[in-house]
Amino acid sequence: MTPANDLRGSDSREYFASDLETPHGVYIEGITERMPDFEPASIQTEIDQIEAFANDRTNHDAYIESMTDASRYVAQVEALNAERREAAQNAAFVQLAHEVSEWLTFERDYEVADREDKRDWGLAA
Amino acid sequence: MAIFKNKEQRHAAKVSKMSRRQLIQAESEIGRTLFGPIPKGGRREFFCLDEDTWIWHEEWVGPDGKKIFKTTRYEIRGSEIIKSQDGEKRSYVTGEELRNLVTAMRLYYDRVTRAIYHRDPATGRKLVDIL
Repeated sequence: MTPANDLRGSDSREYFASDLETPHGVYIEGITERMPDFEPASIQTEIDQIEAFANDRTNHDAYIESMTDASRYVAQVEALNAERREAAQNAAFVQLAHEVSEWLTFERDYEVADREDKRDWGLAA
Repeated sequence: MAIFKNKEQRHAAKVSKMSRRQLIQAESEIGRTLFGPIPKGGRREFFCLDEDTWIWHEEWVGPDGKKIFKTTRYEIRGSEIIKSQDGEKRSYVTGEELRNLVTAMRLYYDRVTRAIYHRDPATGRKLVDIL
């Protein structure tokens, strides 16, 4: 059985099984049940890497840079949306102009044609 | 006994005797009122020439007392309106100008349809029938 203080145990289930009597034993066992291939040593490595990342000034800059990129992206999307909105509005205005012009022309033609028809048929007043 | 029952019917009878040119002139009388007062000595025409074309003609007196003329032709082409002024370079009507122009066209349609063709602009029904 792997000693309880050896975090590099290859058989984590065996390691945790030996550690059940610690205050956190039951909890740890629960995790082990869900992740049978879990290796405690890799967890510590992960923690170290995360702490190193958090403490590294350049990562702060990278984070800020990534946020700036995100802001820039949001601004681009908003600009694109505004452009699309304006294009849609313009298209709607031109469509309205089409409809209004067609109706007016139709109305005018109808008035004149109606009279011409009546004249052709000898019905004009 | 009056032949026509009311003012609307008399008006309809009058319109039915007008030529296409006279109808356009009558429409322009309404169109010219859509852009505010006309300066003294000036003249304005605004009308729908055909289903693709609108005309705005403006005359005013310059500082030297001479008359200045400007005719603007608006052509509706596909999804764009193109403006040309007295042989100048043609340009697309966009933004605020497009909004104002189409609003004027819509107002023109509403007023002309009611006053000259005597129809309800929303339904196209003859107002005489409604009354």
